[in-house]
Amino acid sequence: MVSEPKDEILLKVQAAQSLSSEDPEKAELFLRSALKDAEALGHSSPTLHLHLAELLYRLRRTRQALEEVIEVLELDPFNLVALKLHGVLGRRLR
Amino acid sequence: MLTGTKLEALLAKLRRALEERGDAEAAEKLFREVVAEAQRLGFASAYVHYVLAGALDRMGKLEMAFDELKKAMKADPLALPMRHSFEDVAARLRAALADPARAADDAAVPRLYALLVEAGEADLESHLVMVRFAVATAQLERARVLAEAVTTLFPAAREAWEALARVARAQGDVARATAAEAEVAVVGVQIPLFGVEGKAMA
Repeated sequence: MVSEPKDEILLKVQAAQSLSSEDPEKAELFLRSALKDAEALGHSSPTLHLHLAELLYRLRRTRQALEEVIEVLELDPFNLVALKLHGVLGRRLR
Repeated sequence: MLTGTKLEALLAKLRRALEERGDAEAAEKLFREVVAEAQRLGFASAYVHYVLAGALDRMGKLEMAFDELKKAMKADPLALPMRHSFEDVAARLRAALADPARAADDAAVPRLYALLVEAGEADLESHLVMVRFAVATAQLERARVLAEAVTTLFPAAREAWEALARVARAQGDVARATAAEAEVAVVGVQIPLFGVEGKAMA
């Protein structure tokens, strides 16, 4: 059975979600791979960028997390979750 | 990144909509204003459609919630939380359509069915409800086309062939009804696992 590229991306996102607590580094790899695949398909997903931002925030990689949040807000400036995280990250960096 | 007073005003409106507790209709109006303004600014916000869908669902406006979730998923097709909500609402719409308490000729049937079909979320039972509706409202030709299509989509489903047999008989097409009934008999036969008859022994 041949799976759709979108299904494969969603599987990577699911894998990242289930790994995010016990192995966040591996979860990051899955998310980055999903984002790369999505980009190749011409999809830009604010939610995927937000997942990655939240993960990086928990890993205390603040600057990288902020880059991802900015990406979310470029795509969807009305995302209040991203806006809140943007504020938190900004305060952490000051 | 979009900034400015226009955006700030819309975000304030969005926050008011989310914080509105007493007047759900007022919240819905605010959400819809944000959606419209965002579109004027060139944004289809998956987030706003998603939170509006949640508000509509809590208000019992399931069909509208489904519509907003479709828009959210169009804006962000890779968002798992939106996908899960979409699947949940689709399942509840299917259950509502197939509710045994619903009369066969209920006027809501074609509307609910169309919503599910357009979203690619209609299952066997949904199609059969629509066949029953077409029969109950004397649209036998429509019922026949649908029933034939359902047997193509679900050739192993006994209920699909039974529905086709009923419709064909109602149309006076005895030959097709008999052929469909023969399929019912075949579908009803359990093929032994791996073609092996008898009981497994340790």
